[in-house]
Amino acid sequence: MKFKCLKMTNFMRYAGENELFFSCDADHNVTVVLGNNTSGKTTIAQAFRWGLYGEVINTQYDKSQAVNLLNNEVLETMDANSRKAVEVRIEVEDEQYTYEFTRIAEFVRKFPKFESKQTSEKLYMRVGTNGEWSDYISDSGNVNGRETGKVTDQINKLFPKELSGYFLFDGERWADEKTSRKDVKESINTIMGISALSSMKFHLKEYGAAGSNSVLRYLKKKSVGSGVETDRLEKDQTHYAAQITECEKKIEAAKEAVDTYSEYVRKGEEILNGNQRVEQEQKQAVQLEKNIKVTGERIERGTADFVRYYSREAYKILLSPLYENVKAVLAGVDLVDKGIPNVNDKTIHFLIEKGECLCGTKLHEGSVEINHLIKLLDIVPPKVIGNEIAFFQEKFEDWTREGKEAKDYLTEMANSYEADKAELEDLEDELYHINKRIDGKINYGQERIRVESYKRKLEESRETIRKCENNIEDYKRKIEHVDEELAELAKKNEKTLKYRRALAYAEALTKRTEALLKWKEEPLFNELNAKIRNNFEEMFSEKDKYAELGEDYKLHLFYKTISAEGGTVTYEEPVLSEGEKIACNFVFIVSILELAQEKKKADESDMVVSLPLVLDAPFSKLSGENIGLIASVLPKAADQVVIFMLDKDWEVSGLEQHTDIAYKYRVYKESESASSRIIREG
Amino acid sequence: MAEANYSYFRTDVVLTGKHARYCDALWEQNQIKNSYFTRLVDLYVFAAIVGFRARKRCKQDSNDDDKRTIQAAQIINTMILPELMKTFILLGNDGSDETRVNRAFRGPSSDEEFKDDVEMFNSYVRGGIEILYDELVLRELDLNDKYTDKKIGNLMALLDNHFIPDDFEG
Repeated sequence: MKFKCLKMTNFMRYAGENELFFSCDADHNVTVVLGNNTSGKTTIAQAFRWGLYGEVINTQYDKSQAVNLLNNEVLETMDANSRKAVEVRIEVEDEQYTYEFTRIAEFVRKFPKFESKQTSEKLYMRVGTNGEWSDYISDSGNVNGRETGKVTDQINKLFPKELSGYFLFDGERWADEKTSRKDVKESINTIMGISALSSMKFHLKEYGAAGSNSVLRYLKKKSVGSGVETDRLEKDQTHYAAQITECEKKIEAAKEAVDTYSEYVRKGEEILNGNQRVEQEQKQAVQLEKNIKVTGERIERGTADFVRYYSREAYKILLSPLYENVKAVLAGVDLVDKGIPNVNDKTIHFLIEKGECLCGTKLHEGSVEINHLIKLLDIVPPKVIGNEIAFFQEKFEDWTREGKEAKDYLTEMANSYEADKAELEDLEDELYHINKRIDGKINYGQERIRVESYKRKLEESRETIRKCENNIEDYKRKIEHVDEELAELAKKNEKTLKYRRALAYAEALTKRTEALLKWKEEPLFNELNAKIRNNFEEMFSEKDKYAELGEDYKLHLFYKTISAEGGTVTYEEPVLSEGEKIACNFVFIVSILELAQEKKKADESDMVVSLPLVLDAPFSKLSGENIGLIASVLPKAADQVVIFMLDKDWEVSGLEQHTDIAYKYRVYKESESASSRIIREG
Repeated sequence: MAEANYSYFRTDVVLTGKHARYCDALWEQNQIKNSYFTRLVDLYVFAAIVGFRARKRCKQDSNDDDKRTIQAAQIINTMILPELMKTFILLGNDGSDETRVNRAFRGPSSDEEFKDDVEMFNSYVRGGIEILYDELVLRELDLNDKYTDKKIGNLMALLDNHFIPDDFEG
C-alpha cells in the first residue's frame, strides 16, 4: 500500500489548499519534506492521522485531545454567520485499486471570540479501478442508514489503527513505553498476516473476561440447559468472570504504576548515588548550622556574664594598687587612742554646761580650759577613729585579695570566650566551604525521603499485582470446577445434545487453531529477533551492544563486556538513554516491515500487510553517524518512505540518492504570518 | 556646740555634655550586649577609680544639652563609694597625713569642705569617664592584645593599668 497524494484545505497551519504528491517508484521510494523547527512539518503528519482516523495528537504527544483544526488566518476572516470547512484528502494505491479518502469538518466561529467550533464531520471514500472512479461512499451509510462505518472499516483494513503508532512514526513520541505486550504482539501478528488465526482463537476461546463471551463459553452454557442448579452455577461463573475482569483492570493500573514508580526510583537513586558525598555534606551543613547557633548563644551568654562579673568585681583590681599608699599614709599617723578611760563626749558636754571642771576650775566661754575640753571631744568616743581605720584597712586587704581572685577568674572567662569565638570562626569557615561545594539546588535529604516513598508505593503496586494474579488463578480454578459440575448436569439433559456436539466441534477447532498459531508464531518470533539483532548492528554499528525482543514483546538492550576471567559476559541495560530508546524502536519497526516484505515476496501469505512509513522528525534525538546508518536501511525496509526532517539531518542521512527531486518539498512559515506554505523544490 | 553632719552620696549625680555622651557609649539601659558595665552606677565607680589613679580631673561640661543622671537610689546603695571618698582624701595633696586622715575619717567640718570633697570626687569621675571612653570605645586592639574581641580585650587591657602615666607614682 502506498500513498499517492495528500491534500489539505484550511487544515491547522495551512490556509487554503496545499497538496503533496508522494513517490511510488520502487527505486526512488523516498519523499522528503524539509523545514525548520515549528515551520509546519508535523502538521502534515497530523493531516495523515486526522484524515485516516479523525484524530490529532497534542504537541506534548501524551494524549489525543481536541486542537484547533481550522487555520487561524481563515478563522480571522469569519464572522458570526460564516461557515468554513477543513478538509484532508488522501489518495492511496495498491496493485489493484486506488482509494481516495476525504474527511471534511465544518466550523463556525464563536464570534467575536477567536475560537472555532466544529459543527459536523463527514468521511467519504471512492475507489478507482483502471482509471475509473466509483461513486462516493459515505461512512454514515446509505439513505436507509445501512452500511455505516464502511469507510472506517476499509481504512482499518488498509492501515490498521493499532499499527498507526508504527508506520506513522513520531520521533518525539517513541520514548513512550505505554504500548502493552498484547498490543505489540497483535500488531506483529497483523503485519505478518497471522492475525486471522489469533483472531479466530480469540473468538473461540478468549473473548470477554476469562472467555465469558467466547464461542466455547456460549456453547457450554447452552449444552447444560437450564434449571435451578444450572442457574446457580452459571451465576457463580458470571460472578467469577466479573471478578477476573476487575482484577485484570487492577493489574493493568498497577503495572502502569510500577513502571512510573520504577522510573522515579531509578532517577532518584541515580541522583543520590551520584551525589552521596554531597548528601553527606548537606547533612554536615545542617549540623554545622546547629552548632553555630549553639556556640553563638553560648558566646552571647558568656559576654553578658563577663560584663556582669567585671562590673561587680573588677574595680577591686584597680583599687588594690592604692593600698600600699594608703598604708603609708596611715602608718605616718599616730592612731593610738589618747582618750581618757570612761570619759566620753557626754561627760565633756556635761562639764561644759555645768561650767566647772572635775578639778573645780570654773569654765568660762572662750577660756583656755573650755577650748581644751572641746579638743578632748576629738579623742574620746564617738569621735575616736581607730576602729574605723582598722575596719577600712581590713576592707582594703579584702579588696586586694578579692581583686587577685577576680583577675584570675576574669582571665579564665576571657580565655574561654576566646576559645568559643575561635571555635565559632572555625565552624563558620567550614560551613562556608561546604556550602560552596554543595549544589544548593537539590536537598538530598528530601530527595532520599522522596525516593523511599516511591519505593514503598512501588512495592505496594507489585503486591497488588501479585494478589490480583493469585486471585485470578483462584477464580479460574473455580470457573473450571463449575464447568465440571455443569458438564455433569449436561450429561443428564437430552435437550442439549446438539449443543454438546457443537461444543465438541468447537473445542477441536480451538485446539487445531492454537497448534497452528503456535507453529506460525514461534519461528516468526525467532526470525524477527534475528532481523532485529542484524538491523541493530547495521543501523547503529554497535559491536558491544545488541537488541532482542523478549517474551514480554518489548525490546531489550544488552551490553557485552569482558569478564575478569577473560570471557564475554552479557548483561541487560535496564536504563536506556533517549537515543537508545529511539534506536530500539526504529530497529523494531524496520525489522517488522522488512520481514513482512520478505514474506510477501516469498509468497508465503497474501495476508501480510504492506505499509508505507511516514516518519516525522525520526532523527531528532540521534547522532549524525546513526542517522546515516538508519537512513540507509529505511528505503529497503519499507515500500515507501515519507519523511519530515531538518536540513541538517537530511544532509547526513544519505537519502538523497533514494529521492527524486520532484518529491522534495520545503515548508516555510513567514514570521508575520500564522500560516505555513509548501513549496516543491523539484 | 552644734555638730555638723555631712553625708556624701545621698543625691542624684548628673553628667552633662560630652561626659553624658561618653556614658551613652559605655552603657545602654537593658542592653548588656551593647554595654561595658551592668549598671550606670558601676560605671560611676569605675570612672572614679580610673580617674583618680590617672590623677585626671575634669570640669563639668557646661553644654548641658545632653544629660545623664545616676539615680540617688543606686548611689545610696553602693557601699564602696564612701570608702572611695576616704581613699581619695587620704591620698590627696591637702595638708599633712594627719590632717587627711582626720578629714577622711571624721568627715568635712564645713559646707565648703563638703562641697570641695564632692566636686573633687566628681571631677575624678569625669576624668575617668574620658579615660574609659578612650580605652574601651575608641581603642582598637593591636597585635599585643591577647584577645581578639574588642570589648573583652579592652576590658582586660584596662586592668593592666596602662592608662596610668608612666611618671605617676600614685
